[in-house]
Amino acid sequence: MSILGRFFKAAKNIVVEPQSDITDRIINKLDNISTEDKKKLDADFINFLRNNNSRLYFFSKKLKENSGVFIFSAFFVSALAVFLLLEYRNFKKNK
Amino acid sequence: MNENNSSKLIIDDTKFVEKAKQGDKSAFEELVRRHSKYVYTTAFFMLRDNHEAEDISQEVFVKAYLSIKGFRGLSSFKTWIRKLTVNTCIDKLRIKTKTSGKKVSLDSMVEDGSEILLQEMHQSIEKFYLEKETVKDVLKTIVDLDENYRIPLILRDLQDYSYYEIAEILNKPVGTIKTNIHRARKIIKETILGKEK
Repeated sequence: MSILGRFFKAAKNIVVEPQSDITDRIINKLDNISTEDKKKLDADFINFLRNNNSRLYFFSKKLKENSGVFIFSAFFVSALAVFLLLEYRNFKKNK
Repeated sequence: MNENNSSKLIIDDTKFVEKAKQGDKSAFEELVRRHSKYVYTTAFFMLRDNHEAEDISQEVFVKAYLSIKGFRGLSSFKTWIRKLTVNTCIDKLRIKTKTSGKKVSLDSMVEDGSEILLQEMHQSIEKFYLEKETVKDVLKTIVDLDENYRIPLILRDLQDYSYYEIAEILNKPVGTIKTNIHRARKIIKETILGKEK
């Protein structure tokens, strides 16, 4: 592993302890949710929620991130199919 | 050992998530206890401000609490809350005044009473001490980076986002993201190698 990789691996385990007890503060807030807080569930957030609940979204994201692999696989499968078709036709002709 | 603990935590999270979706508030509070520091840490390094990180942590869990019934579990709860934290931080960064000219140091951030801990304690003390100090140096460099370098670097190397995802979140071309991350890594590497000399 490179020197940077080693440090980032360690840095991922970093936890910053806040000055105040953030956990208690959050839990207390959950008992006092205001209308203003509910407004934060805006269109952007709803969109975020929808995307993270969509298998199609995850699949299309994977496709975009690995388009090269997908194109190569599609080409390979097509070439294999053509090859098998030609072999089958030859087989039938020779029969 | 870490993977076993992570797997166990994910399984346990699922149990609490299911209960929270049925309206069990104490189950959601348990999820808060498990993940609040992680959320705070992420916000801390993205925003470089203790108070804003606390506010964001609170906002993230309020949003999660209000929308937990809609969470289908296609990813783990931790992944979901991580993405929510990043999105909320990015929104905050877009709203607030540009701080690219503002110098922020890690030391000033921890002077407010926050403390940086390394969670993994299984290494030998000497190795742990060396690594902890060097990791702190790396973090200082990351905190000092310009926002255009710092945010993509954090998302890529500390949060494991793909280049494509980062480009989508920051609304920038993938090429720009890759270039900025490469430059950020170069700066950090120079810092580390400079320290080792």
